[in-house]
Amino acid sequence: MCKNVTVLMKYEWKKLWLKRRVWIAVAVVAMFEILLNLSFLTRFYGTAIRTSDGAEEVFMESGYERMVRDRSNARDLDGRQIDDALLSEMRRYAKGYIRTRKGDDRKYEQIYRLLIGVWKNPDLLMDGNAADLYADWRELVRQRGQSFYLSREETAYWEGRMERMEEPLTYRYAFSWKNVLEQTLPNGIMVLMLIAVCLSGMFADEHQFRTDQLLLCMKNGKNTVYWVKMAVGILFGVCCTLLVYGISFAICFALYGAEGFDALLRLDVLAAPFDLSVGEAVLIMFGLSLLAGMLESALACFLSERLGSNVAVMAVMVGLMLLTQFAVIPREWRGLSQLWELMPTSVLNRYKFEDGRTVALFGEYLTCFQCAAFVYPAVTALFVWLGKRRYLRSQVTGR
Amino acid sequence: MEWKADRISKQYQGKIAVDRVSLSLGKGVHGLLGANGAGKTTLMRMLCGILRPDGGSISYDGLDVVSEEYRSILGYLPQDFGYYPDFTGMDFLLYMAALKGLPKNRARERARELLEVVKLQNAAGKRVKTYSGGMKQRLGIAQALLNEPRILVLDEPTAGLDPKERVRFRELIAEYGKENIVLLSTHIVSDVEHSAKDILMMREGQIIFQGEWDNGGEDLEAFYLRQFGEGKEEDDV
Repeated sequence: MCKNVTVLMKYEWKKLWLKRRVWIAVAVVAMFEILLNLSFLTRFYGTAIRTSDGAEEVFMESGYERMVRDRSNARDLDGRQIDDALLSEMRRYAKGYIRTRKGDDRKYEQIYRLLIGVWKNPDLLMDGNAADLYADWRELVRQRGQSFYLSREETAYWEGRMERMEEPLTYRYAFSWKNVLEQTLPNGIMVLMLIAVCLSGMFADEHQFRTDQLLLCMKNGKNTVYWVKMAVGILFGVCCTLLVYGISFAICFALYGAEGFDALLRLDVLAAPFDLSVGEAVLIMFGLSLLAGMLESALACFLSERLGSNVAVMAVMVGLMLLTQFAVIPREWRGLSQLWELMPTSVLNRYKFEDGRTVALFGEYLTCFQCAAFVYPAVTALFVWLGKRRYLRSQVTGR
Repeated sequence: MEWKADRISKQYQGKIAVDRVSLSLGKGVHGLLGANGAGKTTLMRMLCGILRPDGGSISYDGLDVVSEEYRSILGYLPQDFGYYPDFTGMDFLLYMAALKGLPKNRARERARELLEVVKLQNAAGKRVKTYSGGMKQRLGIAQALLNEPRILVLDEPTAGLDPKERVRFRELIAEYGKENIVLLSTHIVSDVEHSAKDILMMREGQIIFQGEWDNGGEDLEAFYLRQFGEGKEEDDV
């Protein structure tokens, strides 16, 4: 007599893949991911251009043409220091565009976006120099820190980290990494939706199909089946994360190339105090997305056993997602707010890199990402344990 | 080989479903008769370890009902037999065999044997949701026999079977009961009077009769009807 773990896992996968709703959900999410990355192809851009004789002409181009032009322009800027020389070049070429929003020299579009992000006021673009830019940039990070109610120690800590970044900063072409980083939140939401739809029946269907009475009276039907179901559920969460990130990476790398891993995160998330590269930021988000996928899977399986109805599981999970998206705890209540913002839909947002709040633990200061890396596995383990308790105590009554 | 239940009871919201039932069963087919709602299904679920009694104990040769060893010698066909609609008959049996701890090769061999026994070999590759009621019931019987259980519990096993299949089923069970304990619950008297040597009758959660049927030549059905009152059914439990 054996445990047949691999055979049981095979059949759990089979049960999952034989459900029509699983195929539909996976297809919808894959389609969404593709559209998210390629939606620019459906757009057309019209730009008013002043010709040499002073007349205005509208220049039309497709989304693809614009992407190719922006990519080429950004690649040309790769490795340039953001200093007075670059600023004055940008002014010379982009004068018409900045003043009147007419004209179309997009050669310095990436630098323009960066400056407008720091200065907000387009007039400053014409006058400010590099020293002003970096001073205002540091002020922007400081003000963002204040909005998070950072302590004096935290402020000093982040200022020290920022000083490690040598000024003037160097622009690096990193379209792929920036795009993937932008997609971490929609990716996280898609993974959660997939898990809610596909795993809601993991235990509930056994009750619904009345197969629970067979499972529970069989040799491997209690402990072994529970662990197998949980393992398949968690593995499914990992696969969903790999699927959405796989599509994002594949399309971004195919369109923009893989270069720019080392580009500074600050060039993309302007108020981020972290001295990380955009590639490192993507890897952190990817790792946390995997952990979040595991946590959400464990939650879905636990709820499936606890509530015994797949509709109820989907309702709770989507409700939780909406709640964490829209309900905000004021940052004045620091501890509570930090805890609330550890929810996956809050952490898996690139603007979370602006959050410099830390948690003191055994003499170390942990950032929200480090906390999430500890908290998610711990909460996953809690749901696994609660689910096991519930499953082993389940009884077949009524009917 | 002794299967014992000692004063087991179960209540649902103040209503007693099984009331201090004690049993001691050995090899052979034991027929459990009772009207709908007499407590047969509740008793069987407790004997199979899927429903915890409020009081009392259940064991087989010292093995407690909650132990893995007990479950490994048990075969159970529930009254409302659940299945995976998109599995084929063969897949369903192989999955059940894995749950029962049969090694892979043995599982395939045993599944083929049983599909032949229940005359489903030609439908083995079809999805269970396409099976008729009788075919599903036969598949249920096959899964209960997969691990060659020493205790076989069958709750209303003949529901949905046609007369020819019922006769074949009785023969199969009678043969199986020669070496093992079979508890067969039904409210159809003819199902047990031919195959069961031992009869248990249940009313209002209590065993009102247990023994070999040899009651001065009286017909079992007449006795049964006299006990339960013709056409009278108890509340569902």
